[in-house]
Amino acid sequence: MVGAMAKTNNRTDTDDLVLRARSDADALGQLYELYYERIFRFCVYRLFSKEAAEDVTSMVFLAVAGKIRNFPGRTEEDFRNWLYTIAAKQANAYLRKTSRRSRLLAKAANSMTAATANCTNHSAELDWPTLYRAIMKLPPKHQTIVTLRFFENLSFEEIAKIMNAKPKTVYVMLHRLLKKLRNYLQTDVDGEK
Amino acid sequence: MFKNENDFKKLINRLNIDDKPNPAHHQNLRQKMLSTFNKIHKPRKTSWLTIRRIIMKSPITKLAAAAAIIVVGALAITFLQQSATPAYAIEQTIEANHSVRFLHIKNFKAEHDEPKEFWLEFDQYGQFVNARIHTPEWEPHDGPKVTVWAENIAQVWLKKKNVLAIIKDKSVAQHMLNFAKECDPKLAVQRLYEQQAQGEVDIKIDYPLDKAEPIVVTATYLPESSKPDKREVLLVDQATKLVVAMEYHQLKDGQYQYLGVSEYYDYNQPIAPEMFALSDVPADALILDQVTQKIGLAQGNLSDNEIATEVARQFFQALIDKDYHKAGRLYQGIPAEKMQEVYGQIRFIRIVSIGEPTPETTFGKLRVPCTIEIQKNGEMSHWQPHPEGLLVGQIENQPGWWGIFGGI
Repeated sequence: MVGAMAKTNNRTDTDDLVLRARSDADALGQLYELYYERIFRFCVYRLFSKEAAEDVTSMVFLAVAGKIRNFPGRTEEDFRNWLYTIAAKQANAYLRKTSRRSRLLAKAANSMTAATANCTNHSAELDWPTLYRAIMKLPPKHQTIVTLRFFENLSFEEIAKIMNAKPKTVYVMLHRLLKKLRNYLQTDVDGEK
Repeated sequence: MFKNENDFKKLINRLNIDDKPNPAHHQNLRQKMLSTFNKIHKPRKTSWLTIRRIIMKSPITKLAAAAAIIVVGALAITFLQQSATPAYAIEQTIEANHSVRFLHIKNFKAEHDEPKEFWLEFDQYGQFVNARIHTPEWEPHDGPKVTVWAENIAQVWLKKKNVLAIIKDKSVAQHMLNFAKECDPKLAVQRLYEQQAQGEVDIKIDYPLDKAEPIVVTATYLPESSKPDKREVLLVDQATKLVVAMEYHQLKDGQYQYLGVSEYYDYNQPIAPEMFALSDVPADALILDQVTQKIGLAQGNLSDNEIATEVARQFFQALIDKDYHKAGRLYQGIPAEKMQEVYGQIRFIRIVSIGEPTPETTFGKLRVPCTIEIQKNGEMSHWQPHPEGLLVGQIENQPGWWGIFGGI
């Protein structure tokens, strides 16, 4: 019996950090360093405003501080998915305020115009404010999929875990929302003409 | 316009958004986050004061009223089962929460940093099925040890001594159940409720204003109770209604002093079966198997002093006869090979004397003074195994059977 039950251990140091972070502030601090930029970037692409992204990123990590003790995950992947789930919900909640949404749209239009002007290689028919307006017409869930898929470059499986859905469902949703986006954009461009 | 996902991706890639975070925000948020974490998750002595400061104290509420709050969670399933006609809503909650099946506990003492840790698995009836216990360095007698327990069998690895003891006994199960009563938050709530009904404790409930802060249930034992100087404080998560920590206090010099805290983690997060097996015991560990063999000597009609003397006599006679199997059986079940390895180089010639046993207070056993004539390295001598005598006593897990304990 002795020594016969050696177990395989594929856990990484970050997996252990995740377990320790429930009761250890240092471990939580290390996870913060690993994920702050990523979540901030997610928020920037989701909200198209650094100011709003800072607000939402703050909400995300303060929520983590409050909830990590009962966080059920055991691995870095679990933690990352949990973070994105919180971030997506917080961003949606942030956008639910119509006034904020309008302000963000206006900001996006202004800030993106300069960026678009620098892009000489792509179609003049489509600018980023237009695209952002189109994205904002999608339901919040679909907006999150766009951000996770195209800005965070996550796989369908990863997105599915974050959104508590099946990968196949995410795949289908993505293709439907792209179709919608195309229609919105076409209408927008045609309207301008 | 984009045609497909790849086209859209290319379009996105052309976006030139400034996504660099502001270092000041990064630093400030880190501080805020850790400060929030420390406020919420350090229910030990230092942060407990902080928690007490920020909660709004409500009027004193009896547990009977508070039970509704706590019971709604998964804590008091046993208590709820005693109710003949539980309310529909509560039944639904039970269905939603079930009972505590898995639990990880860290038990801190005020004077030590390293906790005693427990991983517990219960069945659907709330009975223990598996336990793993990490006992830290500061624990007296045995030093650091790891215990796994299942089906009334405990395997105890004494790290420093490199000994693996395998013990079967109902008292171990009883000990575990007593421990559960103390530590399992579900049972703790039930116990406090019963004690309150018996007039043993006074219960106060503090409801914090902030939803992120825990509900604080303070149970103070009354002067006429069985534990007149004790106080227990339960911190209950408002969202889940689960107990997240239980503090222990003792009245000293007119003030309640903090003794320690049990913190509860990973409610119902399945614990890997490997955790309930000893996988890291070195291959050369000494195995004391008290499950597959009966150890010691039956007391029969002998008095305690007589059986203690008889154990000592038979033990040394077995060494004289080179019956290492029998000697090992009298000495905690040490394997014959190990006995031979240790005592084989000594020639035990005769028992010179066995004196009257005297009580030993630390372990509640008897000391039996013995003098044995031995030959070691060609030299004859009279050997006394211990200045105060051989330590002999009743074996805890085998009532009515006596054996040898401690070093010789």
